Amino acid sequence: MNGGRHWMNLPGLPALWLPLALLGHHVGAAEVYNIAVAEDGRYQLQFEDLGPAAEPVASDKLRLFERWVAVPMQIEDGGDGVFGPGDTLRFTGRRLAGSGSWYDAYTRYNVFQLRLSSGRTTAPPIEPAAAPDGPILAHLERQELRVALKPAAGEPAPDRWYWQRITHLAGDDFKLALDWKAPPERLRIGLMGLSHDRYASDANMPQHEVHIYLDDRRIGEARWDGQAQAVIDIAAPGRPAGGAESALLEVRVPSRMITETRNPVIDAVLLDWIELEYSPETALAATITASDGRGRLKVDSQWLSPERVWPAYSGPRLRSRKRQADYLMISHPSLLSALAPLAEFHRSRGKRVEVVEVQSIYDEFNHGVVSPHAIADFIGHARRFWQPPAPTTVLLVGDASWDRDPYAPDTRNLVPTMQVLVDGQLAASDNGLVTVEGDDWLPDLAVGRLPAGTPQELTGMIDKVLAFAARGEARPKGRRAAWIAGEEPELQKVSTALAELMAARGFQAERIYPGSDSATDQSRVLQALSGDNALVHFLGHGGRFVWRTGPLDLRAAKDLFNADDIAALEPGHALPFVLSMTCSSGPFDHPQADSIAEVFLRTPQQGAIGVLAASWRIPASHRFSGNLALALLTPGKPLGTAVLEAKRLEKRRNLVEAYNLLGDPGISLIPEAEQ
Amino acid sequence: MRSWLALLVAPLFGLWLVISEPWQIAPNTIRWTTQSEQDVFGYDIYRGDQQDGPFERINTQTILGVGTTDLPQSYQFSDAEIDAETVYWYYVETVALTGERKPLTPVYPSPPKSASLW
Repeated sequence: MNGGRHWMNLPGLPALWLPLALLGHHVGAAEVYNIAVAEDGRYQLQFEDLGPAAEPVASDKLRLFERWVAVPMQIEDGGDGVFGPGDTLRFTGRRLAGSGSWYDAYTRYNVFQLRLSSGRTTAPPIEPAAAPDGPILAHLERQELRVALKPAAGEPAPDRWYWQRITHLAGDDFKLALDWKAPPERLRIGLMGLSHDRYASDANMPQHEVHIYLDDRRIGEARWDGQAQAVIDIAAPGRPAGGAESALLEVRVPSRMITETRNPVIDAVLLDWIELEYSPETALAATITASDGRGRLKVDSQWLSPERVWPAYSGPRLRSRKRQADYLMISHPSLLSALAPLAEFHRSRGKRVEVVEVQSIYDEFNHGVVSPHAIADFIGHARRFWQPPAPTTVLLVGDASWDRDPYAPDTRNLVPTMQVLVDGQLAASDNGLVTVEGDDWLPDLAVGRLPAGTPQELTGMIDKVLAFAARGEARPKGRRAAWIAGEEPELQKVSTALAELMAARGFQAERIYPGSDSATDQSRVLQALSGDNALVHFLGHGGRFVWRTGPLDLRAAKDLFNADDIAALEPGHALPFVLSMTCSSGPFDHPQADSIAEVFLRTPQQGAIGVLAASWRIPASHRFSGNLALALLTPGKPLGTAVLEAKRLEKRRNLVEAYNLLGDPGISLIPEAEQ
Repeated sequence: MRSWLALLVAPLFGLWLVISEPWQIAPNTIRWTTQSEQDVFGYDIYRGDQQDGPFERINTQTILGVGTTDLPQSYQFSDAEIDAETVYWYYVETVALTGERKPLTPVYPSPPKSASLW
């Protein structure tokens, strides 16, 4: 216990301790704690931060790990050799760096794991590490703007997050007051080109021109082309006038006129980061060793508190090869209770269902760090190493979001999805979570998602599934499908072909194509969604909230259906499955905004039993629609299996990755009994 | 089975001309919305005295767009340099990150203020 200042230095463990750390991950309740930190800095943790259930432990048994590698720490235990109430643990925390970027793209938080029971009983004190040679760096970066840029050939993917867009428009520059008590030896500005004005190139002008000002004094500039990175490196940026202790940094894009076109160069750049480099002798309040070997990092002079501390998963090991399941349900912990009836429903039908809390996957497969790649790793492990037969179906229980703060109280990032580049934008894709065998991009398991943000939302979705299953068994003649198309003849031709394809297999086809009376069109769409159609297929133009009658034409194109209409659908009927074959009707990963596909799922008692929708702009495909319809309307074939089969026949990667199944992949549209 | 491809994006827009009360000679306000944007830099507003032009850009600098998004966006521009007796014709032009310019909207009239005065 803490009876005064008495520090014990505990070293990082050598590499030979790594296997022990791995084996000992599951050591019983509250013997391993996750410690989340967001930034590089010096952190301290009080014993009380571990929670009321924590018990005092011998200080020399404590070990701290970062991604399975032990890291040094100091314990102030008052000299009694016990880490208990009133005691403090200090360590150097580091941000989670991305691949080629300062921060990780998926989460703000790195996770350190504190083990309370090490196999080692003694630990010699260590001397404080000598300050390394090299400069001191202060890195400034904010993740304010999410922008998808294509990687250059052979280059890693560009950063997805930027500080600010800066353009040639008046007032659209960047200003920041910098602490200038100790002037840096160098100032570096990291920029990325966003625009690529071809008329500038035609006029032999650079596509980008950026000027750097310090206290209204121009100290640097850069010119370059295209969506490429530029680093402006300014040696000896100087002292502010009058010896002021702060300096105003400005990043400006000048307006330049193209003589031939009499238009300004369209010049938009992205500010990525600012870096100040100090000499090693500069007296700064606090530094830590830079993890990339570039000297030291200037950090906050205060001891920081971790963002979050919580017990790591301590249940049965997911890596155990003795496990077996047909159906994996991966859920956010807040939704486990609401999920129980659905798990029980599938168990009652003979499925071996394994409900897995998503944080346990992070703890066991990614050292506690939130990442969709950890989910994919777990699914791949279960597929390869669990007892046969291997899992075939995955349900993701919880909404996803590209919000990087998965622990925020109001976050909807409960079970993250992959972000893939589709037609120049990052798009949500659950496909990558089940692409676990081989080097291809085709799914290996069926996957669906119930995008609930709360237990109430999940209960509403599950109630629809259970009611649908009960109705389906009493619906021997529900072999109907509706085919809705936009006004373009080509769309209607494809829709008619699909309707005839399914009519030949015994499905009554209702075709709804826009006519002269938009009110009638809208009414027919509502009826199709409120009737006993097993499948409703829409082929046309659309967006996040709408299905439209036609393409870009203000006077002609009208809403056929939008998300607000879902509340007007009649409840109580057998809900359809919706194939929403249009652009961006299911981007379920926005932190705040909804989408028509999510509203179809989330509206209690109404809407749809499931939706297949694209998360970004996407071409429709006659072949993909046909394969989907054939599989979905096969008696006894689960939704997820149907989508899996259709995707595995597809050759266009964008279609496979951007279309996501929202709904329970384990239920069938047409009961087996109708075979 | 024949495969057919078409990009089914809905880069839709609405355009409203909010006509000022005539006795105030308040500006004509052009409002437009986009259902989605891709690689947009911004928008310019053009005005003419006749439906078929000629048209002149009336905004002093481009109205900045969001860029790339599938969220609906709303924009507006107020034209204060108007004569109460004149019918003006407006359209909105998209300026892409490539520098290319394309009309976003059809040409729309703003009736003379005096026409609906009494």
